[in-house]
Amino acid sequence: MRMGLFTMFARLADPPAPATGAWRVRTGDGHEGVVLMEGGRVCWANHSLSGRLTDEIERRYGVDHAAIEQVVRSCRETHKPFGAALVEEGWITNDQLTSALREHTCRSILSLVKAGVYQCEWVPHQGSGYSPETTISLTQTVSSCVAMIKGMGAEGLETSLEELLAGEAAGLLIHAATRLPLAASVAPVNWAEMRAWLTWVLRIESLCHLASHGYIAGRGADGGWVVWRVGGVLGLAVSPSEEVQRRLMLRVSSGLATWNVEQPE
Amino acid sequence: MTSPDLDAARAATPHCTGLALFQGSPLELVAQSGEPSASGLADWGQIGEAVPALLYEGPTVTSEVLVRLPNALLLVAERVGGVVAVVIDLQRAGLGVSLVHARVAASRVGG
Repeated sequence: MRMGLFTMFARLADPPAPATGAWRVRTGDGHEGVVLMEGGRVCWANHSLSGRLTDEIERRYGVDHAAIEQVVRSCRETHKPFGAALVEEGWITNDQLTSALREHTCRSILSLVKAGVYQCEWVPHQGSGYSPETTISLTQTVSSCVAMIKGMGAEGLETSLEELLAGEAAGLLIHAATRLPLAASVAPVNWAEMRAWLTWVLRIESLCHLASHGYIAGRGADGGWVVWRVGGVLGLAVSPSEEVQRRLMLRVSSGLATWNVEQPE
Repeated sequence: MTSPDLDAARAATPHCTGLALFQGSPLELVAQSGEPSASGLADWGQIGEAVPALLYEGPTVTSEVLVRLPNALLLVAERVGGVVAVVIDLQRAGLGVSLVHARVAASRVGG
């Protein structure tokens, strides 16, 4: 049966331990794609119909085509990761590599889904060639894919979310109208949590009719949470600490007026 | 707990437009004073419907929830005597002091 974006991600969310290997993805057009994972995090995806990462880097950062080809040739001989070599040789920064990798991965996944995904087969391997900062969680990946579909900047949305989380809580941004995740925190949010939190936020929002710049904050012995709304974007922050919840609530209550988040059309 | 107790608690709480006490499982409205109208929420029944989702079904179980609405603060607090909902009109009071007053009212009603 053909899988939609979320059905496919639900499948990708469950790789056998230690969750390092490749999902070989078969599409209805007879092509194949791949989603590489390391320790349950997404490293890279590719589909023969999506663009090449090298073209993306050339276009984005103006790196000379001949220089890229030279690095590619050198990496083939030395078996060195291409992205890491570009950074080492000073052609791009690590942040630029991370950004380009993420965009390429999301575009490839969306291209796979568009082509019609029918099967995802897990192929384990031992490799651990990706630096942690260039990998992204599955929830960040699916959120970035949604942001891309909506024509919104995934990295900007994550930055806006982290501004309120301040690295002390896990959280999500949600597109209220379509009920889809737009951003997931750097602090890990697993697939099951994301689904449960999304459903719950939308439920309490419908019960309490949160206006723009309104918020709901709950706390107890097990920690707490804050839900907020600005325009068409809903936010959620979760912490197992009551003390952190107090700080989150203060940041949200004082910061929402000037909180800058890209709004959906 | 009877309605007059809630009336007294409401009268003692600055800018409080409504107080309600819920008890039992499933939660039922057992006493009320005033209306939650300032909150923009229709009635105590609507708030009662939201209480389980707010207190027990979220990412962490909570004992106190603050809902910041355009013109009002709604505090939902689990106390020994049940779940107390307090609505304070924020058009005439600041958030911080209103929250303190709402907590005091919840303790008066729910113990």
